Amino acid sequence: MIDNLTAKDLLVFKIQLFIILFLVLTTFGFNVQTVFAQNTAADHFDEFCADCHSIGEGDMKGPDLLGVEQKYSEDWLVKFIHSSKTLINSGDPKAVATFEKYKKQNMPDTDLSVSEIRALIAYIKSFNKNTAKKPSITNDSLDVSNIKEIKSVIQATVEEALEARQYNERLGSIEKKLDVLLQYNRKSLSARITDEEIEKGRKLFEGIIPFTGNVPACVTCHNTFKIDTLNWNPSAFDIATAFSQRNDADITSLIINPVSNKMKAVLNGHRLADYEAFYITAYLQSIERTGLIEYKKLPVKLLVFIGLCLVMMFSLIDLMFTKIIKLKLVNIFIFIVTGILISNTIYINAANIGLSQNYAPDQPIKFSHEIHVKENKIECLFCHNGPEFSRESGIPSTNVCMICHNKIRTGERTGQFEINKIVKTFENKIPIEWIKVHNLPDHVFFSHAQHVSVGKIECRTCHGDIDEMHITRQVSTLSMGWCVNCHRESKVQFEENKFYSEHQELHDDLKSGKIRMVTADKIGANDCQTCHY
Amino acid sequence: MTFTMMMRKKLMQNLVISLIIVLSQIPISCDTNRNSRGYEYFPDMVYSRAYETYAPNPVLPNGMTAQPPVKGTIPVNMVPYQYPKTPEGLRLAGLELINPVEPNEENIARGKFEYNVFCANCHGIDGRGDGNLYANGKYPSEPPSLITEDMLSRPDGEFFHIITLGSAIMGPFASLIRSEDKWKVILYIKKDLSGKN
Repeated sequence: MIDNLTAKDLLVFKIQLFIILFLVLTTFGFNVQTVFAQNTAADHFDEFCADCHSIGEGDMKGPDLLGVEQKYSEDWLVKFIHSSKTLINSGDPKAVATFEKYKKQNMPDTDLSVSEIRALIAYIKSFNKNTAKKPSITNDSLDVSNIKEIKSVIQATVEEALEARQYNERLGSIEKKLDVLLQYNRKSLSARITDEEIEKGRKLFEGIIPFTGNVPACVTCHNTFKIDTLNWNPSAFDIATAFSQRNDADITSLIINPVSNKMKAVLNGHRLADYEAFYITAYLQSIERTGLIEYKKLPVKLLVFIGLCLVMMFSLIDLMFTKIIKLKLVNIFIFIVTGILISNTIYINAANIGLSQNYAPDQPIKFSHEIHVKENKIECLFCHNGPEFSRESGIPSTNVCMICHNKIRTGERTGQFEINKIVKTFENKIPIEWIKVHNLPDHVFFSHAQHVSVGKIECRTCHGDIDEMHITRQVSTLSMGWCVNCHRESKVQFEENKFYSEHQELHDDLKSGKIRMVTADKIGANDCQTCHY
Repeated sequence: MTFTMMMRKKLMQNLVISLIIVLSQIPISCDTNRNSRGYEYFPDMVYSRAYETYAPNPVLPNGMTAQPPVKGTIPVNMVPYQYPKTPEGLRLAGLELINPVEPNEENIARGKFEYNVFCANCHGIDGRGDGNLYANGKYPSEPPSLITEDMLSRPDGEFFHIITLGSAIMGPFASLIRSEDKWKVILYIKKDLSGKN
């Protein structure tokens, strides 16, 4: 029954797709094959070539590839890209000449097939069409006198870029329409899934029913309920939401033929049956609607507290009325001990109200400060580059992540899943909704610049050992007492500082030895209006 | 007799005190959940009612409070960068831009600080292209050395252009380093870093 339905849906879907593609082609006059071929070629270029070559941006480690197809024949290029070493060793004069010219740096061999290399060359060629019209600037013609000419060339490129952007926008609107149709298709599919199928999927996912092929249950890596510790693998909910938004990936086919290296290693050549993959997809779709299961923990500490209250009450009643225990001293003793414990608990909990110390929420991306700061030795200021000049230290925008993650796409612990989230938000221009950990009330003014730039306070003084946190946690209480105490202890740089020259009394006291150092509270850090105004 | 009684009393006292200390640690806090902030006395002003800088915003068109500058306007004190990311732009920047920063010790020290924060991860503390990210094998492609003659003979403007817009796989640092500091970094690379080797 399932097969019939999916086949029918597929047919409808294919017809819809065909109609849209037809519309696209007729309106834009595209050749579909070249568009798709160029896409993969562009990916190949980024992967294999872009480290050393550019197209039209000048020589780097290797030569600029703009117009390379005019200098050499295509067959020669295919041979050279496939294995430059063998061509050089065979004594080909052209190959040896380029090898000598670029400081005898070997170009690594590639595993690309001939057709893929031809697509790559076509991709490089496509750049030449756009730029060949313009007069190219050579090193000889570069002079201060012809700056005007160079400027006109730049003007032309900027205009071309604008045109290209408009073109991309039109393409984007069509893509959006396609997405809507695809989502509609998927919704109609999920509406027909029965509860029985979801239940079977849950049992398969949690390992209650084993898989036919020798495959471990999904739940060994992907948790189905909320956990307190950190799981580097995505939870079932993460997977469901990540793939429902992507239109190019179908979960069912991905479960059968996994793309990521980690999944391949786990499956170890085994394959899930089609019906199993379908049941798991059904389960994932249901979990996307309901979310992860949340098990309520037994409130042990609260129960202990209530027990203590009861003991205290009974001892009091026994002391006054029932008098079961003959020795009064025992009852008095119990009363005093429980009283101390209860008041202690009440005091500590009441004092902690409003302070979210040890708050460590789950973030939308499993970003670990330990990996970035301790292992990779990236300075705090690289990403949070506000505190020297601004009130806020700043949450890094996605383009800061992409400086490194443009190239680093797999993490040691998380694989590709978490980094893909950044890439996706970067490409779609959606900001990541990080959850704020350190929150100061609105009636307090705090400036990072004053503390970091002027006070020369290290980040870890307030934020703790952030380099040992996989989940970012609030270490300090951020209470007013905490602020005021630190102001009383921290020394102000008073000598050779023109800013505080007005405090004549303090200068005199320092000289006469009345005070050893000037602390922040003496120059007004603890005045009300410094923070509350 | 009296002595043993005294001893027993003391022992009991000690036991009781230590018991109180141990027991008082059990119910010290409510059952905490790391995902919750806990309770508030008066939450009115703790969580801002106004939309804060990084908060989502249902009123504004793209759902964000932090909006980009209106089209055709620039922030105060900001000089927009005019050269495009093309070889012509690079050469023109090299010809036209002049380092406005005075080469004194203070500026070079600031340049060194900024270099160690932003550049040393890839290009290395000595500028040899052996930064820890590449040396550890985390970053796959080899960063170029900054202290070769070829590199140091480039004009300051070209350095500025590449720091601002990025090069082939190097990302743009336009938003990360203030332009004044970019010149100081260039100053440090040319005056101090090159002399070390």
